[in-house]
Amino acid sequence: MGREALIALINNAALLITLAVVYGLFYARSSPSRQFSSQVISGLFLGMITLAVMLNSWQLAPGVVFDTRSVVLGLIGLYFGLVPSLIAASMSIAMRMFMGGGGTLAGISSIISSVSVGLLWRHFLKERRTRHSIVELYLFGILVHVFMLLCMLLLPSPSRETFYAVAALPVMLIYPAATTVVGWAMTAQSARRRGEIAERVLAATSKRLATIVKNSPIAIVSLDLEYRVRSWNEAAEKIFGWKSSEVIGKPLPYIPENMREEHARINEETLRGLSVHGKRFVRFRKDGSEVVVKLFSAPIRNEKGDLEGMLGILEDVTAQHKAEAALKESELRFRRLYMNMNAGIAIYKVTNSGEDVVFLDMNPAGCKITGVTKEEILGRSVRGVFPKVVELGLYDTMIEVWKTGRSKHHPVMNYRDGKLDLRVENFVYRNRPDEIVAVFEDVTKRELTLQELERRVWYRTKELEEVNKELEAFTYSMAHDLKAHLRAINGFSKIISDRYSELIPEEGTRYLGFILKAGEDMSELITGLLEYSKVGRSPLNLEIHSLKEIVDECVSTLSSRIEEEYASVQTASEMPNVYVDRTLMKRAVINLLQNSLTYHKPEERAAVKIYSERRGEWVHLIVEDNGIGISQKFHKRIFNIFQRLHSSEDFPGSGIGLAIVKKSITLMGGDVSVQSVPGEGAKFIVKIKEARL
Amino acid sequence: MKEALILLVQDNQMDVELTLDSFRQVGLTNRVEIVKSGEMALDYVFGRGRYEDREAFPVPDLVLLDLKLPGISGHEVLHEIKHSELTRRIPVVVLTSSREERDRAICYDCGVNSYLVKPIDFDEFLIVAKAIGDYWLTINVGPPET
Repeated sequence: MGREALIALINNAALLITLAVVYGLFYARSSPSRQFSSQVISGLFLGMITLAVMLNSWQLAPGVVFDTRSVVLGLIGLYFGLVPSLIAASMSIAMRMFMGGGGTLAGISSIISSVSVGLLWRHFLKERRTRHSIVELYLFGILVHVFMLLCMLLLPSPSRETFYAVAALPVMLIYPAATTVVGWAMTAQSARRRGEIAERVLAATSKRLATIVKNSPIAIVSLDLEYRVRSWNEAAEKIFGWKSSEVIGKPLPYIPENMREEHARINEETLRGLSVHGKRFVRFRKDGSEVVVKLFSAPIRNEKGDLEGMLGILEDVTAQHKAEAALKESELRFRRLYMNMNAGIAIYKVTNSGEDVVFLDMNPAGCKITGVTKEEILGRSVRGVFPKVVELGLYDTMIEVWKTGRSKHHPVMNYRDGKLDLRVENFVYRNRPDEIVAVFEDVTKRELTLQELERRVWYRTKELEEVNKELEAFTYSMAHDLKAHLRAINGFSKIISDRYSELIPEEGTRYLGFILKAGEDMSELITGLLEYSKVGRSPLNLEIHSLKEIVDECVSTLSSRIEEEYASVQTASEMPNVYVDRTLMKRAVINLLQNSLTYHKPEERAAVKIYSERRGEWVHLIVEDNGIGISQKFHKRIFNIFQRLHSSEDFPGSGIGLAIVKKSITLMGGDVSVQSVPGEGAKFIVKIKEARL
Repeated sequence: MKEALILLVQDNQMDVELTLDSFRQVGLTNRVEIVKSGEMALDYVFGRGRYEDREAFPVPDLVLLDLKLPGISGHEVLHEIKHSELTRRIPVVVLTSSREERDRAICYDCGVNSYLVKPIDFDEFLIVAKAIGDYWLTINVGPPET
């Protein structure tokens, strides 16, 4: 081996090292998904290395030129994959063809065989594409060069013979070793790169994780084995109110003293592997308010698998908890109502688009009323359980409600079958499209009570009729018997005073006068009472009447008295129509008029004005006199029966007249009042309904 | 013409006396037969029992009837008289203290010939007594004899 060959060998070795460096620079960097363009670039680069190798060949023997292309191309195939290998191979083939000579065919075939072995090895050992052991690399080297030696069979003679004689052995000794060394360097390069990448990825991942933890809407807290806080994220700050600087290294702040034990138990269990999984706890914020959290806990171990602490993930579910509690409470409330109410409730499902109605549920009251148990009716047809609902129409009502969605009242029905006999009232509603509800009540008792009530009313009415009859009998007896006695008193007194006055001393005559006077007063009283008792005894007959006509009639009834007493009565020429009972109205007006005629001042004649005023829907009939007047304090009292303000010596009267007025007017829905000042006359105001046509 | 006979149906002795006294005062001197119950009134009118003898107790020319009577009431007496072929032509004048509508209605429904309310005041009563005599026994022409 000459100096030239040595230099070529060194060059080859350097180029092989360059190959390893290129690989390290461009290839071992990232994951397998390499861009096509970078593959092409590296292919061109590799091709250039191959060309350099080929240009640095050395002559082993005359006609036998030698280089390390087989090592380079094999490793390119093995480490760089298809695209760079094809580019590099094509470039070297072109080069070899350009060089020409007798060994061209052998040279080209050795190029192809080396790349192919590399690519095939790579293909079949995908798993460990870039991590090849020394043994494997050595075997690979032997295989590449066995094929290379075979290719040399294509050398023309005598070069072929020379080659095998001189080069075969050194090739098989050195080239696989070189392949192994360079391959190993590349593998090592790759492994180192990988380590770097892994570290970077790890750093990025852990940074990302830290960001997630930091920004998580869920509180993430970790504790050490003494249960002191190791980490406390922003969500934890937000939920509980403590800054992380306030809590790191201290016991969990949201566990009050009295809960430490319970908390320690949870922690122990977590450390033993019994993690908490979504259980809810009540905790306390910094401001003392309650917060409900959902906790997930897990133990934390270091790389060696030793316990290091634990992790808690806490979700603030206060609002949710409250809503759930409210919902639960509401549910409970309705459930209680449903279970305890007195009305029966049956819930039905309408099946097969209205073909049948089956029981879904019935509340206890419903079961009690109908004498069934929930278990025996669930899922059964209402027609099967209560056969009579069809002929009583309730079934049709249900179907109707189901169709229209409008709730309906099914009136009291007497449900009777072999087992039941009750009166029920149903209200049927549609609850959901295929669900109807009947609320029903056992009204048997109510109906019986109603009947009893009717019976009692009937009896009471009868009794009242009896009483009324008795009352009539009483007044009748007044009319006859009392009057008969009075007549006797009056008659015989008169006869005595007329016929025997000479025989009686003066005092006796005077007393006889008292008897007569008393009789007359009593007669008047009886007449008044009879009249008063008659008011309201006959049914009220409200009709439209001319007030003017009624007033005029009353005046003419009393015309003789008016004339006798030289009184004056003026009536307004026009008065509206009123809605009254004619008899009652006349009675009232007559009594008012009599009242005004009676209570005139002793030195004056009575002067009465009768007129009316319209007040909204009311008419005020006013009877105004110039009489003695009535003191304010008696204005109300004068309408009471038997209420008199003067002695019968001053003014005759029984104290019944104004009571009759009041009673008559009140019966017709009106009212009567008085305005008066003593000595200045009185103004009686009768308020009655105006009749509008 | 024979003197008219009045049948006074009145249970209260004082009323009877007053009535008779008033008749005397106004110069009414006709014979007055007095019965004190509804039953006796009917017996007399129909000539039954102790009034069988028509010679002694002739058919009255005027019946003065009180309504309030013990036993059979005045209304029933009136009803019987006016619903019998034999007696319905006899003029019946109700003389009562009652002004009640019901009483008036029943009496007129039964065909009473007159309804008079007895005034409590004796002087007024005398006027009524006089009117009865004047009208029923003088002016009024009675039914034909049978």
